[in-house]
Amino acid sequence: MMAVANNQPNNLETLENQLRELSHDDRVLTIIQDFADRLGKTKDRQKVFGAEGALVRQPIEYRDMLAKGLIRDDEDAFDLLQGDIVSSDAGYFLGERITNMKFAIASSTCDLVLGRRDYASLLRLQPIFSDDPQAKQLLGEMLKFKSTKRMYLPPLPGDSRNVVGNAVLFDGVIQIRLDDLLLATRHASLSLVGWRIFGSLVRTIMVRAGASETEMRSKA
Amino acid sequence: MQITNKKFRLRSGANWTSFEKFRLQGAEALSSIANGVIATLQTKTGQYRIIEERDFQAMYGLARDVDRLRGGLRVVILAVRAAQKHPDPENLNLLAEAVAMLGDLPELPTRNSFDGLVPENFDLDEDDEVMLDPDEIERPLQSESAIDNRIDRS
Repeated sequence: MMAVANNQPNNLETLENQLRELSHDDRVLTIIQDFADRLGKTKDRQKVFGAEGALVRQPIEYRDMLAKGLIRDDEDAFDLLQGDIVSSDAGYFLGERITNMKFAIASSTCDLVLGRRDYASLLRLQPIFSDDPQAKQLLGEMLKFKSTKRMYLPPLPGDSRNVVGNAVLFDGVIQIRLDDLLLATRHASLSLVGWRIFGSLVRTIMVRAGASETEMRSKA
Repeated sequence: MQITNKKFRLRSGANWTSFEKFRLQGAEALSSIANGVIATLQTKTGQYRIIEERDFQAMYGLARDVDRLRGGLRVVILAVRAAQKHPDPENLNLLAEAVAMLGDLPELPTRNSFDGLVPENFDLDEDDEVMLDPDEIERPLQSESAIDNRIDRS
């Protein structure tokens, strides 16, 4: 094994040691949950997370960003960003084409550049209606951010009047060709903190360690 | 759970014979373009069809399915050619099998809803206060006309 200076890993054991705190770290969830917890009741969380610009904002447009100097002209032009809320009838889930639904884009923004990838991943949204007998409990649970299945979003453009919130569902990924996704209807982008929370959930839900997983893999 | 195959039908709508006529009518001119109605705009640079966003998405989704169907149809076409050239029992059987396969799929499956959400039942708090009155809840981005997404419920 080649010698490496300082604390650079020079064998698989030290490599694992250095990755341990990074690859499966789920402290981000605790930070979000503690914040939500301090806000009080669910209605208080609804006010904070449902406010204008809190989690969602108007779609971020490339030309606007260019004009404001927030992106350089030598950077990739974009049509869509990670976390954007979109509609398309060209996404598939287990062989069925999904119609008349909204989705959050799970793929990273840099993978949404035309020609860079063939496919993209979407997470479906499900609206919660005011007269759903479970609405209170559903909103209460989601706004605690303890679920590994769902993330809260406020009512979105195009939602009917009786929608009181939306759930981004992490149970099952919708697949779509990138070319098709770039023609989707764009409803909203995530705010900075909305994108941070979304990214934290996507990463942690896709990659988290079971209680005994480290022991089983290292000692069995 | 609901699996649907909504019929898609396009119809001809307004026809503007110049851009100026379209412009003079203003944004109101576009209000009739919905639910399958397509308008026509004739200009010096060519003729254009104007279609509402949701109809475009529905049409594009169907086009994507047609693309998928091509693979299945190719198998049937090859089986037909083989049966025409060599009408022996094996090839006729292959043709029958290929057609039967398509027959099992009279319509390509689409889905516009999933099972309703059910609570996960953690930290049940009887004293919790939740805003359920739509008039009380802030709607951060209201720019589009509402879609009756009750259709999403099964």
